[in-house]
Amino acid sequence: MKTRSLWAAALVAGCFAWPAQAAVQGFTGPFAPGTWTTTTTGTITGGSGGTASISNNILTLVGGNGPTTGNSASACVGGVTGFAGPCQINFLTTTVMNPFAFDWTYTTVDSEGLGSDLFGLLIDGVRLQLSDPGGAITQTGHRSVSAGSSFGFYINCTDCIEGAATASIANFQAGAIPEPGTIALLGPGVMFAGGARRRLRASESATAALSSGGGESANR
Amino acid sequence: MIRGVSQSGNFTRQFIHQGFNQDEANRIVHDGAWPIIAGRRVAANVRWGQPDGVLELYQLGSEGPQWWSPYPDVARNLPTQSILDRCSATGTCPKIVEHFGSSEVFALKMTTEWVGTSANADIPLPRNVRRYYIPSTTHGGGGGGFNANPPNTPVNCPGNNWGQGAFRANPVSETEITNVLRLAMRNWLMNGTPPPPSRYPTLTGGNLVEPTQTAMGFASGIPGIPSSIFAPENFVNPVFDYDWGPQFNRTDATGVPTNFPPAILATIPMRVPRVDADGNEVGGVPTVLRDAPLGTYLGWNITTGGFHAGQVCNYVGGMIPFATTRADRLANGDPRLSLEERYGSHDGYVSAVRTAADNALSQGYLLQADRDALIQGAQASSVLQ
Repeated sequence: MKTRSLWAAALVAGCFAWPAQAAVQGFTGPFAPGTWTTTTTGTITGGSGGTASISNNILTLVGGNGPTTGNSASACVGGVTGFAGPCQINFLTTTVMNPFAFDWTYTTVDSEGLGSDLFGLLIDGVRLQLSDPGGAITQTGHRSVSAGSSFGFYINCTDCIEGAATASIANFQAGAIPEPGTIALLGPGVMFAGGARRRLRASESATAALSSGGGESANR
Repeated sequence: MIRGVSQSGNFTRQFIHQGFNQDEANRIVHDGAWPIIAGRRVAANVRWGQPDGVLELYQLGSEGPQWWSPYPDVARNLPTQSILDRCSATGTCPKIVEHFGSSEVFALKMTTEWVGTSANADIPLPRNVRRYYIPSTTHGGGGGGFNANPPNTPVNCPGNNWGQGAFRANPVSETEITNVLRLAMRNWLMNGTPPPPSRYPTLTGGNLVEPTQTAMGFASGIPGIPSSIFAPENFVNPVFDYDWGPQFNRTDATGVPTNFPPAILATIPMRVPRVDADGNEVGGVPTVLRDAPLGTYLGWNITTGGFHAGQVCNYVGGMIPFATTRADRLANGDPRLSLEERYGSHDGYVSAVRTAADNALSQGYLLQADRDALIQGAQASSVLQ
């Protein structure tokens, strides 16, 4: 009897409760500025490893760059033009609320184009390149992806000369927003069960998965 | 500067690969190199080598590295190499500009240069190389102009009496980009001004795909194009990994081939550009006719008769005009929008040309004089008149 009462109370509460992981819009809440980690790797002789700046609405990531010598030698120690090498700036969170969705813009002042500075996602520590090395000097796109243990962005400047590349992330969203009509249509049992299922997924480890890419544009 | 077109462009790449850009006093010979509509090398420095060979069955020419940056040749179990290995070791590499179009993809086995023999990753370009792909063009480009319905004159498929192609000649020009690159190369060599950024289809960008109708996104029902043309035996000319025998150096493509004919160890996977709903290629430099099209522009054709009937007629790209009106295209079952639906009127077409030309100009792939001439050409044309 007591158990049945508790279930009934839970079902009633579930009718009026939001899902356990409501979507986060913008860099707010668990993804607010200050919750992310910025790291740079590799050594850029005489140069900078890159910077990250973030507000509630937009993230701007600038890649590393060093002085250009007359013989186009790499400023990144061990770096080779066009190959993702040791010199990289990473911008990461270990808070996972799937899916992550965002708009991105990427450009460079490097006359070589975007083949020399590579931008993409870090999903569970693995690079997923978004920038097109043969595409336009400014590129845009929209992505929705899922991660297991960590999510973020990177710029790898490969040889890190001839100017830095810049990525902008806007319209960031984490977690799924329920459809407005769904709340009314859901029966209380389904609501309660749905919340429990989401809590279970959050505690499970999952391999990174990429959902459909959405509309990338090379600004033809 | 050394400049070669088609087979002499392949020779230019071979020249660099062999280290011939270094003279007897260890000085650089050519400051610049411009291989044009060429995507591989030639069979030189090997017994029985035919430097004029065009990669017909059992011909040497695709052995060894075809790419500019050091990259492993996994599919052929060969070490990491590049065309620039010898000149890099001696500091005698030229600045290189290469440009090519669709026919080189389908006939001349070009994309191995871009994605290697495993065809699973974009091979980066070094800083001394610029690559420009002119989408939907025939070998060397067409005659240009704004003719919505050029004469349906059969084109000849070159070499070995291959017959005639089903489609009229592809008019998309490579002249304008050549004008850009001529100036760009001169400035690069003489005062260090970098050329425009490379532009070409890539796997990463989703514009380089498997050579199937589905992967390409090639619509069914475009008049004159049967689905059978996309079958592997009819479509892209592939690279074969040959076993030339124990005296042949597979790494450097030198030595003595002794197996004739050679066994085919593997078919190297090829890639092709993705197309839009009209069958026009996506990726590469922006061009006016591609961005304000009057039809489907192909880098290939279909052989109409003879031994190769129904197979791709190499080197000679074709054009399939759009219907003029919606009624025309519906009557033909043509899935492509008609000229009337796209542009509305002659002025609408000229406006589209102007937009396309300004886009190419702003990105550095069209000179001002050519931009003006193209718009004037569109204005003087009879499109939707």
